[in-house]
Amino acid sequence: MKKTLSIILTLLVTFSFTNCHQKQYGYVQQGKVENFAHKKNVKVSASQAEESQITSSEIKAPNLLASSEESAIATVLEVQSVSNDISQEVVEMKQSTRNEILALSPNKIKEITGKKMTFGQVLKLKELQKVVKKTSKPAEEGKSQLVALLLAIFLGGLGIHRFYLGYTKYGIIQLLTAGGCGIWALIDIINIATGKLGPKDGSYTDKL
Amino acid sequence: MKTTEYIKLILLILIPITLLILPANFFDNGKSVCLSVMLLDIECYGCGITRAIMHLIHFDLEEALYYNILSFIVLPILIYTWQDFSRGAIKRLKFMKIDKHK
Repeated sequence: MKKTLSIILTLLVTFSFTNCHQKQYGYVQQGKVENFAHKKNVKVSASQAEESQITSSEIKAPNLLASSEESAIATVLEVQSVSNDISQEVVEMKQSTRNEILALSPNKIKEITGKKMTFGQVLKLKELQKVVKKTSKPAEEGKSQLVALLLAIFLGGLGIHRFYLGYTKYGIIQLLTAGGCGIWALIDIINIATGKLGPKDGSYTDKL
Repeated sequence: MKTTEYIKLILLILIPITLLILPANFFDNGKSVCLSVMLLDIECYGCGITRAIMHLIHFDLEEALYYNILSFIVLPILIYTWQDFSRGAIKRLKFMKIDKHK
């Protein structure tokens, strides 16, 4: 009993000390940036661009991004307390700065400024993002395929996905017959996943 | 019976190791599949706990705090339940061995 426990504990401790995850960041920072380049939110910061010494035309775009990002970071770090006066300031903000503030995270700020955030600053950033989210306008009305699919899976027996997509008549029928004895709902799941069953007016705004 | 216990134990040990091998920002990008977030735009108190604990395991305290404050309470409880489960599995395996000898 004690032997096996001690073996497992030593294994875990040695692993946690020797795992190469911490070192990977140091060794292949460039590779890490390249790996995540195809994803949306990751932008190459200016300092990294200078290190890699790419041609000037390629550096320009990241530089612009970094400068606008830095202004957003400055606004975040300047905030003393999130209260009513701040929310008035937030209302007057442009949409682009809003998006930049929402995209910020402690690690991103650390990458750009080179300083670690204190816990208080992190909490302020979180509160500010909440206020920005509250005051910004709701996104355009549109139907998402993922929402329809999830509704069909979880609430398909009640025909809720039909109401969501705009087929009210079929929705009522499915509600009364428990999703067409479950078979119709099953067919609907497959049809929504393949894209055959869309909204009544037009098509999906975001697809899977 | 014995094989299932062994599989349980192996899984219990492998899960934290795989989480440690994966990079800390493994779950950060991507769309939410939570119904309450997608339909009603409401975030509950469990929102972001996976990301927060993933960062907390890798000693990235600021990011963990940013995603969910409650991860600082949840992780100790999680560790306690994990060691409880694995110890129980080891105990049961031992009892099975004793029965065989008799």
